[in-house]
Amino acid sequence: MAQPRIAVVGGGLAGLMATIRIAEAGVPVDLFSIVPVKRSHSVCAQGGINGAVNVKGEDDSPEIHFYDTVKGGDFLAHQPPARAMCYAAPGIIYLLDRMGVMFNRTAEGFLDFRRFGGTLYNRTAFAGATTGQQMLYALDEQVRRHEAAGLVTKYEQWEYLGMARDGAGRCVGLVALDQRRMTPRAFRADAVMLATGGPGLLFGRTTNSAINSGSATASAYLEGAWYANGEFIQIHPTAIPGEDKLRLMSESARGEGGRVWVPRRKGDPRRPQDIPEAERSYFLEEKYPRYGNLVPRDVASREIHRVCVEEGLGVDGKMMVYLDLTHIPRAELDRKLGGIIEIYEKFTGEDPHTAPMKIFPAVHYSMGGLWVDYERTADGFLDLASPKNHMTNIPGLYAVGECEYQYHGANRLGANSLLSCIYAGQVGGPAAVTWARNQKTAAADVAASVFEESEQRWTRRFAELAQRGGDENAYVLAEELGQSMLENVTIVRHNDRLQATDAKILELAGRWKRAAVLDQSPWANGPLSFLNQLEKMLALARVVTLGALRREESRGSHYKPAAPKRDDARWLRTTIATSSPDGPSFHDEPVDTSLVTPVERKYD
Amino acid sequence: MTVSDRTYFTLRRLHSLSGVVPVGVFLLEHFFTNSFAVQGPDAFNRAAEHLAEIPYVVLIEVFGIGLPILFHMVLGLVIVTTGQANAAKYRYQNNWMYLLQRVSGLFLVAYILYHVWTTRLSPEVMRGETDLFGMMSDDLRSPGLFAFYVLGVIAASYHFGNGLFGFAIHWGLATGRRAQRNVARLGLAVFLVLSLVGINSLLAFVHRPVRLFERAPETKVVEHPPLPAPAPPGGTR
Amino acid sequence: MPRTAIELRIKRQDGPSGPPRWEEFSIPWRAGMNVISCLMEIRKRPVTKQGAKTSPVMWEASCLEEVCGACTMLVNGTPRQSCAALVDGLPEGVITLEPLTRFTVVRDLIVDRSPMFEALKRVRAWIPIDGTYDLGPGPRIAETERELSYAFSRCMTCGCCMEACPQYNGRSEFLGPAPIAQVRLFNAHPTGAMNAHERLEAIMGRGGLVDCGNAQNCVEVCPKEIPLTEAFGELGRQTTVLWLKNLLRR
Repeated sequence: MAQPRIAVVGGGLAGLMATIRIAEAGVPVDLFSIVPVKRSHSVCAQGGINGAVNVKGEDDSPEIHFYDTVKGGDFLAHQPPARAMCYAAPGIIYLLDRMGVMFNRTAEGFLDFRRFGGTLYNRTAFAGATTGQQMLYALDEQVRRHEAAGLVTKYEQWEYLGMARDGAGRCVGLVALDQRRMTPRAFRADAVMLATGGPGLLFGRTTNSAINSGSATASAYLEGAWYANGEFIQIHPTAIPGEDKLRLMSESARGEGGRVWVPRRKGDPRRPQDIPEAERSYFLEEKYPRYGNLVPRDVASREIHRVCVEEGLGVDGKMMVYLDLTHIPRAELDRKLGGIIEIYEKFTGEDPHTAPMKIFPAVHYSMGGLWVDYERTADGFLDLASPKNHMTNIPGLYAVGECEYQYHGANRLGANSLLSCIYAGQVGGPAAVTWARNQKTAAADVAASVFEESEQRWTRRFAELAQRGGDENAYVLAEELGQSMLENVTIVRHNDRLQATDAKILELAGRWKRAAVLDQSPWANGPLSFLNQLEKMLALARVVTLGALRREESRGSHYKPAAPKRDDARWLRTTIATSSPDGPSFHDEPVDTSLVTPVERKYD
Repeated sequence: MTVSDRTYFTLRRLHSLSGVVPVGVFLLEHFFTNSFAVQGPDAFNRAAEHLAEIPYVVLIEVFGIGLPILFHMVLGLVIVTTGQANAAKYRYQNNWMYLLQRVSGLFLVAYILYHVWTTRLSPEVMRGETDLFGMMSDDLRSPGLFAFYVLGVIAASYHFGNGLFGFAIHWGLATGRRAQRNVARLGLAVFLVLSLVGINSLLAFVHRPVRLFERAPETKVVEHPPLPAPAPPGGTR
Repeated sequence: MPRTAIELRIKRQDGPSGPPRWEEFSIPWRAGMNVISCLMEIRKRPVTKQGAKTSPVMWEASCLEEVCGACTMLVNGTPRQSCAALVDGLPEGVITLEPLTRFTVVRDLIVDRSPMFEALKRVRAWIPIDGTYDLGPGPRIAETERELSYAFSRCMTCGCCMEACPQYNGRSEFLGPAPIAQVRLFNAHPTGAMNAHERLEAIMGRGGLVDCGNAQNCVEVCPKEIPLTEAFGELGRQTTVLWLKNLLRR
């Protein structure tokens, strides 16, 4: 059989880690990315990466990390993969350290760890407050090394459009769009690995990057891949507003001692510095004495919503609270949180060393994503030799990172995302290699017509879109989508409003057909590309909204006042959406909770 | 002409070095010798003759001064072509210094060629018939040439002084930001001092030196033979 | 007087060879706007100030919080990330946007910065680890050393330093400040130090360290305040030592 070749789509942490693992196995990789990989959204991850290295004499262990993770996810995550990830975590941190990630150190030169949400242990390794950036750069450097050695070929500024599948339905390649020449082109691949990140743009302005449309994932879903737990969208409690995006203020600010409060008096006009201690309500510390400001994000966001909306105590009457770092010594702040202090200063003009930050909740992360498989061992770990790990329901199509659903259940713990990205790449890469090496027919030997047809399908579509006239503007439609999703499908969910949102999405889909292409250029035509993306985003938005409508309980990030309790008897199940001509059709499957028994989730 | 990467590095290092040793050292010596003019034509011509009596003087002049300057010049010209000055757009102090280093270097090429020809290589000088002081004195009484010489002194002083800044960074002597800033200041100080000393020598050639602590030279003019001076250094005083 | 409208003058270009042209836009002011949100406003209504229909302005963007480097352009002539260019922080009057000039224009404000990534390849900007399998903890590093290195590892390859450098241009082979400074980062790492000489030799040729002219604009325009000139000093020392060693050993 010919030497297999694997395509990785996405150059964030998960995609790069998978690329490195595949290249290390001696298999050539075609790496596609919509931006130069060094500019992927992983750079926005700030606070750190979890791993129970236990260097603070706390008797931390991977098993406790595992428990915190599944409890943080309200027991919706399959337990074997989550456990395997937590046990691999210390090794992953060591590996990154060996790659040269400039993690903060202790006085003795060991890796330093800090606290994060949803745990009582100092378990988070960090590089200032730009850990994601630092890790991405380290992986980027390793990939560049393999690129220089000829094992990796980068296709940067190429956009994933869809799969190429053989007669049996196996994924044997992909079609991608060169964003400059605007011509779709088919590539053969013995396995295709999607690592295309989250769908933040569905919600308009979020903490996500401008590239996180979710359209690649949505395209896979539209071509038959299952989409799981789409309704679980994480709202991060602490961001700062912006006209173009909402900028994250890392959970590490609270991990380093930052305190969240509001004035006790409604509409207190004083400057926060002038409000005495007794007249402040540290509402998280009051309600959750054990975890305090470091309750999981879903809990903190709901509390902020309660305090601001229900009790009306929000700063300036808005859904806004203070995050106070002023009691922490300046040098320590700069050393451990420099990156976010700088962002806050640059974008608000205020100095967090001296004035409490004004922050509010923002859409941040999707726990849901493409459904992927795994092979468990009898003792509750992953069988790393299996090609099933991280494979979607489509043979040969893999998914790793935020674009898949596997590790976080109904809510992700802070600093577990970097871990899950790296771990997914570490596991998914070799799985794809095993798959590719065991195919009877190599992609290279698949009939050329398969690729010609898929390429032509996309060429025709883009030719049609390029002709499109009409009175609608795709960017305006996207903004309307974001507003509707943000208002109705975030912290608090009501069925009538979810239904209204779905109706709105259908309306937008109708108007999409009248959206003109705003640019006639055959070269680097962004509006043309976006027109294609938007249709897929609308399809995915329905998955999120209808999934939320369907799940009649409250769990993790999904909260319905009409069904405020968790209902394990009916809903301890993974939501799975399949695309049909009439929109998503849903079924659900049980969750593997064989390792720890779900209990009531409490942090007080 | 292409050279290997290794040779290129060596050439560039030699370029940097040659600016300090021997060219820079020669510059200091040259300004020092010229300063004898402050003490009058006699003192100056004596100093010049002393230099001429140094053993192996021609070899030193050729291999210790001439060729290094020529090498520094030629490579410098090549270096200048690789830059695209943008000080008008990025108005930072070091960027102006970068630009001036190149401008002064270019000017010095013209200046040095002229200066070396007129004071060292022209047939009259080679025949040893010239009263250097007298010749300089004559030349410098022309306002145009005086200005040309002043610019030459300033350019040489600057190029050397600021060159020390580049030298310190290229060779890795000054690595920290403050250290580099201090070297830059030192370079500017060298520039200022050398400029003043150099200009004072020029003034001395037209009999208007500034004297600080020197013993005033005896007023009797040109007793020292043989000086077939074409025009006696007639002062206004 | 606060603004009520934002006036923009944008240099546009249809392709790498196409002639540039200027277009003017006027959009309503809102509090907290940055240059990116102005461009987003334009694409929702791509009409010039004069009322002529045009295509949306193309620009590159990703993180929008000054950690990815994508949206670098000339804002009023200064190279910087347009996401961090808050309208209210810019002087009153027309805001001028241009693509970086030291890179090939792809379209409008998008330029091709791949030479920077190629340069990173050339200087071998990585730690050559044995493999990604578990080999236990990495080397211990003093926190003070870590802090110095961290400054360099924040380089986001945005190109500001390249844009401002008088030595980085079509006439020279100079690799530019950003890629060369990365050598300082990797040579300081205990594992990276093992093959420091390879990186040094990569910057000892044409286009390398010696082509720096010490104009030091790089350090002035770096949005992350990376001490690039200190790296050049340190690398000067390292290459000097290696050069002498090579001279005396061969």
